[in-house]
Amino acid sequence: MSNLDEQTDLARVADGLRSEFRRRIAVLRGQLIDQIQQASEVAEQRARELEARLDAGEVRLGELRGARQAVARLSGEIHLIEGRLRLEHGVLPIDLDEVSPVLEPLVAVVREAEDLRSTILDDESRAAYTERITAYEELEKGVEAGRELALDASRALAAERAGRRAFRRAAAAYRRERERLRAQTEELRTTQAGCEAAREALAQDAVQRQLYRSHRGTKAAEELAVHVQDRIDAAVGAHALFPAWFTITDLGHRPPAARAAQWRVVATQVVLYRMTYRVTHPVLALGPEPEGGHRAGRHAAILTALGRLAE
Amino acid sequence: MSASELRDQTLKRQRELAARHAVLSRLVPEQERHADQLVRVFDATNDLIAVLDRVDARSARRRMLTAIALLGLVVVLAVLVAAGLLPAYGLIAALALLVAAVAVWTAARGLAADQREVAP
Repeated sequence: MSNLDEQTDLARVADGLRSEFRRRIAVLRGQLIDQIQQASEVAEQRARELEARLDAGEVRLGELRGARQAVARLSGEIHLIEGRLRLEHGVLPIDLDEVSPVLEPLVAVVREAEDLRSTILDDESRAAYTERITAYEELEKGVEAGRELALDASRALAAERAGRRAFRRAAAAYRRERERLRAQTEELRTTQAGCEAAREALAQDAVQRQLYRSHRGTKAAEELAVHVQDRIDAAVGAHALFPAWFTITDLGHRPPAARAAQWRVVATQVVLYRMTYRVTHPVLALGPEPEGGHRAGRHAAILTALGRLAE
Repeated sequence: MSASELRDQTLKRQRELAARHAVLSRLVPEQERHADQLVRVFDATNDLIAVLDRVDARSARRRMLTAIALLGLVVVLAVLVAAGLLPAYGLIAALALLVAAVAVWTAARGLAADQREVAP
């Protein structure tokens, strides 16, 4: 066999192999496309199923919410009917606001402590006063530094020969510093009263804080809380009728079985708040919303606790 | 007030200021007199600065007049060249004079502006 024949055979074998590879690649590609299509169909089907399940879940959730609202409404109505029935049977609501002569001194101490606390500055006011004083002191330092610079320029004016460059430069520096000093001194003068007032307020606040710390109000409040808690426990134990301002809140007529301890704590807080701040409103348990200070913080905290009770 | 009078006043005020500084340097800040002396030093400095302001104002006015005179010369030169009494090269001199007038005018305005800025 000649070289030419051998080369022709090799070329034929190579062509055969090439066409075989192409055929197999085409088959594999076709299989791959089929598998991808199948997988995407399965994924779409799963997604549809999941969507349907989610829709069903949302519907159920809505039904549950509605049921919960209905239960809450019904229990409120039952409480109302219970209250009316008791009133018709001559059962009067207990007076939780009443301060017995035994508790009178304790309540007086607590109120005194709260009055003292109401005069203490809150963090924001204290920070504002401190900032005002710091700004004034910074300004004072600026004035002092400006005066030194003006004095330096004045020294140069006294020492340098008139008309020379250093003399002219000193004159320009003095004029500049004098103007700045005038402006700063004027600002210092206008802010002085405010700074003194801030210093006075902070000093007064320190005195009030010390008085509050040494006051026995905190201990008295704890003691009073125990008394109030006992009274609430007794009322619940005797199936007494709670007043309207009490039952209107999330406290209701009776502690819920699941959250009795939490209910007791919040109820005590509400009654203590009313006693401390002399709230006698027949409908609003905590009275009108206070404007600010520690009382506003306490008011908000109790409202939050009441809200948590309803969750 | 003449220039020599202003110079004398400047020297007088400067001597006064130096004397007050000398007194101040002998006092310590804790001393009661220190604050008073400091005020006296600043008063003396302000007096000196007032005299310097007058000197500057006078200088600015003089520069302004010089600039106007130079501008007048420029006009005269231009007219003479236009009338044919001077060759055209005279315009170069007129241009140089104009540049000088603008420079003096700008310097005078700068001085006046500085005074306006620091005026109480």
